[in-house]
Order: sequence, then C-alpha cells, then structure tokens
Amino acid sequence: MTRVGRCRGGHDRVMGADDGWVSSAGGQPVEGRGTRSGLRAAASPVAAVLILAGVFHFYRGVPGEGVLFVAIGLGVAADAAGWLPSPRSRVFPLPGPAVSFAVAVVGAGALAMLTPHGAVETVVLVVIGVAAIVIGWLQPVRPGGRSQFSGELSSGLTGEFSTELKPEFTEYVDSFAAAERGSSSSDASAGKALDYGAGTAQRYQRTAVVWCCFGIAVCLFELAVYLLSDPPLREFQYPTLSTLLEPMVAAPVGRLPLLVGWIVLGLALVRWSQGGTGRSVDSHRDGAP
Amino acid sequence: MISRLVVISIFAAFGLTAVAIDAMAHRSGSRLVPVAVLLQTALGRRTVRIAALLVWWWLGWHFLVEP
Repeated sequence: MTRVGRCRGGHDRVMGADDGWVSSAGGQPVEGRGTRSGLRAAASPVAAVLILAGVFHFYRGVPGEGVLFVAIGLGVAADAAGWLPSPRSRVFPLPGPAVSFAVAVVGAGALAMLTPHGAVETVVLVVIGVAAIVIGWLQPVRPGGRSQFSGELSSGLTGEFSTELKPEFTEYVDSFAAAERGSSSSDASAGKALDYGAGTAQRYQRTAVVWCCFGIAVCLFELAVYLLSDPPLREFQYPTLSTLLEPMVAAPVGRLPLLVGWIVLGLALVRWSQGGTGRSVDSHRDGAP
Repeated sequence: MISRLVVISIFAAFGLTAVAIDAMAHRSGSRLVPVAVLLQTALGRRTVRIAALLVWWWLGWHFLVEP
C-alpha cells in the first residue's frame, strides 16, 4: 500500500511499506499498519511502559490510576496493531507560546484558588484529562523515525521552537527532492544530501537515546527512594519528588508557578503534536510558504 | 538526615543534568537536537502522543488532586 506525500520542493513522494507509513481510509497516515503483523505491532514499547506504570500504581495503592494506565496502554497497543478504527483527523487552532503563557497564568490563578483535593478541582482535572486525550487521539499522525525526512516533517516543523532546525530540514528535503527527480542535482550532490540526512537522523537517534536513559535513571531513582521510604514510615529520610513538592503544592502561592508550568507544558505538547499552532499547518498544506 | 540531603542532591543533579543536556543541544554543531524539536517529531506518532499527554495529565492529577 502506498501513499503520495507532497514535499516542500513541490514534488510528490510515494511512500511504501519501507517507510512504515500507509494511508488510512480518511487519507491520514497510520503508523505500522500493513507493514508488520498485528501482534508484533501491538508489542509497542510505549504501551509496555504505560502498562508497567499502571501495575506500579496498583502496587502503591491507587487502583484507579492503575486501571487508567493499563487501559490506555492496551488502547495504545491496539492502535499500534491497527485494531482500532482510524479517527477522522483534525488540526486544532492553538495558541502560540506567548498566548499559551497568558492562558496558563489565568488558568493557574483560577485553579490555585480552588480547594486543594476538592470536588471542583477533581472535576476540572478530569475534564482537562479527557479533553487532552481526545485531542491527542484526533490530531493527525505525522511521519517520524525513518521517514522523518519526508515533506510532512518539513511542513510539521513550523512550531516556534523549531526555527533552528527548520532551515536544515528544508534544505535537506529540497536536496532530496532534486536527487529523487534526478533533475539538476548531480550524483555527488545527491549523495551529499543523503549523507547529511543520515547525519541528522543520527542526531535524532542519539538525542532520543540520551533522554530515554535519563528518564529511566530518574524513574529508577524515584522508585528506589519510594521503596526505601516505605511510606509513610521513612518519608522524611527518603523523600520522593511528591513528598518534596507537597509543602509547595499545599500553599496557593506555591501552587501557582507549578500550575503555570504544567499548563504551559500541556499546551506545548498539544501544539507540538500537530507540528505547530494549526494555522501554519493549514497554510503549509495549502502550499503557502 | 544525611540520606535526605543525598536524595535531594541527586534530584537536584538530575534537574541540572536535564538543563545541561538541552543547553548542549542548542549549541551550534551539537550532536544532539533540542528536546523540543525531538518531541515535536516524536509526538507525530499517536502512541507517543497519547502516552505523553497521559503522563502530563497524571503529573497534574498526582500533585493537585491525589491526597
């Protein structure tokens, strides 16, 4: 099964099984489907991490969160295997960093005024969580990994935080397009472009490995401290991050900066998920610069 | 008391390490990409996106609502 993607250079690129991306009924790329068997695709590392986290939540005595993590982990595995129906993708208009910060300050101010652990706060957090997951589910899938040098990534790199690499990708994609067409580029320049692309892919892989190792180290340390603390017996001697932040969270003045950071991060994740604010994605789709 | 200080120091070291890694990635000629750029690429995959949003939401829930 193949899909035709339009690169920034204006040419159509056919992506087949080697790219690992195929089109769904709605025209959106669906990762992994048709390229691996369902069961192999279901063995997603992301799903495994979520299920493992869910099991740990059961262990620490919060079965509700355990059920949530395991359920979403299973859902992620099913989606990776192609067992779930593809949603009709939507690109959401989202605020940029400056407006996000203003929204976060106002939202955090309102949340900080609520009674900690109260009913209203619980309802608000549940609504935010459901909305975030639904939006994340509906946002279009963009190519990544080995096929990250297709036109879609170039179009996707429109976020405010990606200005540093955008010219590099644009240059690469244009070079790659020319190399594929075999028009004006010589074999040497096409090879150079491919080497350059491979180098950039290595930078991504290296960064991903570094952050994965870092994340695993933090999680293992937090787990070790949690086990040593044998809550609540030795929480003072072995404070987890939650224990350390508890006094800060308890006071509205302390909650405010944490809430601002949390909301800003959430809005950034949603914005990065669709490669920008939505308006720029649309403009790129229309062929605008 | 010493164990508490050690734990806090290690958490602080993790925080500083994270800042240092991303600062290195922002230097020209770096062999790493900034974490925001990496996330922007990774979040294009629905599985990663859903996991990231779940973890983000849980952090808020854990610190704000969970007793």
